[in-house]
Amino acid sequence: MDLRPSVEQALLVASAERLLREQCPPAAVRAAEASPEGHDRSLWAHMAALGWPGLVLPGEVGGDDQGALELALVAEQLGRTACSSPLVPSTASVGLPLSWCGGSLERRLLPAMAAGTTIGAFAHLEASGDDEWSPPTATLERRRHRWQLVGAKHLVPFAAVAGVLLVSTVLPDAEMALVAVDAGRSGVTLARQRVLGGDPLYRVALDVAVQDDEVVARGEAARSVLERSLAYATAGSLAYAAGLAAAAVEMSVAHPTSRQRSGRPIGSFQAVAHRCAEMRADADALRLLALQAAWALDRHQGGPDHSELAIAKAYANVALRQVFAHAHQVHGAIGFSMEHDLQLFTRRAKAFELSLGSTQLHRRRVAARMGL
Amino acid sequence: MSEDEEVFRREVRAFLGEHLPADWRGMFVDDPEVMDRTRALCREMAGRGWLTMSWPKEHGGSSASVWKQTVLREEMWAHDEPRGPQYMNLNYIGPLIMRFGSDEQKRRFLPPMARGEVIWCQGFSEPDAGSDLAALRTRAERRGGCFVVNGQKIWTSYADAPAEWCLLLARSEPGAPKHAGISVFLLDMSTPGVTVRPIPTMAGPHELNEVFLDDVEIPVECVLGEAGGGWDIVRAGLAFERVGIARYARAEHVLEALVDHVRTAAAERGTTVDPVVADKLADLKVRCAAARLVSYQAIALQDSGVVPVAEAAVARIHNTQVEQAVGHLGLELLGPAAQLTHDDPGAPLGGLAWRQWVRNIPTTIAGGTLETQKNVVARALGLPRPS
Repeated sequence: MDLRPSVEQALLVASAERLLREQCPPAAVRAAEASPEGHDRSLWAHMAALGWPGLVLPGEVGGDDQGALELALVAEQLGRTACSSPLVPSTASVGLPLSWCGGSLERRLLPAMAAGTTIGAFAHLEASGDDEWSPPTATLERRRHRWQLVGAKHLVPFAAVAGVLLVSTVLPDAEMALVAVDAGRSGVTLARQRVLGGDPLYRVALDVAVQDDEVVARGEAARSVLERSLAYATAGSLAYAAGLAAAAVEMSVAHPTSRQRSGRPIGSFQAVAHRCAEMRADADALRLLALQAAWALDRHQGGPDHSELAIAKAYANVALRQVFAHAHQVHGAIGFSMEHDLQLFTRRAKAFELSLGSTQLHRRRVAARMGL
Repeated sequence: MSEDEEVFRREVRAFLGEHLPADWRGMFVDDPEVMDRTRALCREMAGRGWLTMSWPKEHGGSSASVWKQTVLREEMWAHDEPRGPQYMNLNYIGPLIMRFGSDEQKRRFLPPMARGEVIWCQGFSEPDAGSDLAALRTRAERRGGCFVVNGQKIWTSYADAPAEWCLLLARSEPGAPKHAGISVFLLDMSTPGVTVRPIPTMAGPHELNEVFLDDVEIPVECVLGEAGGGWDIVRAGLAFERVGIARYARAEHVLEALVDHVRTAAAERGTTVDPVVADKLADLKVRCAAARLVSYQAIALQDSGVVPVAEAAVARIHNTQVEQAVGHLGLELLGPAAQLTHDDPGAPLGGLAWRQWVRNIPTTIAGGTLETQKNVVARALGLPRPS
């Protein structure tokens, strides 16, 4: 991996930094969380104007053909401001997999996704499953000239603003199938769930008619598309989490530098300063591992045989706990209040830890690569 | 790492396979031949141009890319530093002389280093000046064409190797502020008044020493840089030193040996590796990957001309602790037999895990304690100084 960003990457990061600093202050993050949409539509329009929704999508649908690393660099900046945005889930979990499927429906949908006029939501997790790698149980059955999709998904991000749902299902022969349906179709019912994190998540009940061309992948092809898109989602989320950690370090340095006790700033106590130093050490490593994972994903084209993602996620899960434990300890009681901004980051970090594979799952993958 | 560097890595491994004795266990073992072995290997490496590959061409080096140098450091540290004490010459004593030395000093001191023929030690720490190095008290008084030095150094590695030269810190301007008035001397260890006394340690009899300096005369030509301007030299030297050791590479090397061991043991019993054991090994693999990348971050910055103060300390925080963790896990996985030390014929893995554990007890102390590294990071973050 080249640790120095290219000129284009540096420009991308600078424009992301500028946009989010101006348009996504903590007040906007709070407002987005409290809104029915769960994100800031005007901010999304700015992102669309900068071409981010199409960043990693193919050129022939109006995308920019960039890689996971570029998506990660933007995601890192989103994390730094705790921005709730459909950008990563929509592009990594819906746009990209649709582009790999390559049918007529996909060619119709993708230009709108690349332009940012259509947002996608991935309806995949189910209450009965362990994690993203558990096989889906929502059924897809043949009914004469069409299909019927029946099932219940949960923790579906940004479903209320999505124009298209990508749904994982199982066929009667136990093969997997991916289905892209219009989110407004009759038989799709959404209910917002109460969650600890910052992104709006929905329970999605499905009993919908599906046309042939909406079944975008089946069998082995569906499994491989799912696997690859989970890799991109993990890479994007890792970079987002690295941004959260970096922000926590900054806040945790600012607080004890100004806060006084017995006439001296509490940051002059080593017990406090050393927590900040440990946070920085963890946050640096997390960032580098996250970017390495995205870089490796681009090199391997999302093939299953790369341990960098597993290494990064296993590290991130542990590091984030340490970083945020230190952050709260350094902030004292005020960090527990909703009035302080730290909670915006802490809640998102915990939601990330609980998504896209546990520490144990990723360590098992690392162990497998070590021959264990 | 690019393909070029990986090709070079294979070359270095082939070279070590050919030239490194199978029973090489690194320095600090009670083996009278150990120093001869390191000298022989350094001569071989000098012949290939590898010894000073990091040095500029004008000083006999090959100005190799920083990543090629990194490969060499990784392979050396992973194989228990077969260059012995000479890695210090190459990593920072030589570069300090290039940067701060007179033409005469460069002509005199650099060629023997480049040929792999000279052992240097470093006279920094004192009984009352460890992590707080600037508190050092060894005095150097100017008398005619000489400085006369009196004082005591401690925890000096390789002094009884025996080292021929010492990079020595002493206070040459009494009454100057703490960080001013320190000079760096190039001391011939055979000068009358220099006494070396080994300090037996948990790792063996030959690791560390005390060095006593009684009316030791050092000619003024052997002051490095300006008299009284030594602190800048020390800081530059410590930055080279912090990223000079590829600790993650040895941690990974030992980890691989442990993986082989648990797989073989499981196969012999007709079982698979305990998932709890696999989880612990994977965790350390992850931490090694983190340590490697934060090291690369510091190296890349240094290569671009920035002194990576916080990043070098971050690298050390990761690397020293992962080396220790691998030692502990190694002993844990080997069980009661791990009590057998490397000089016992029954020691599992030839005492590999024992060495990894015992040698790394001082890893978070030497070269600036873990706490000192955290202070460095805290200062770089802009936290207020302790009042």
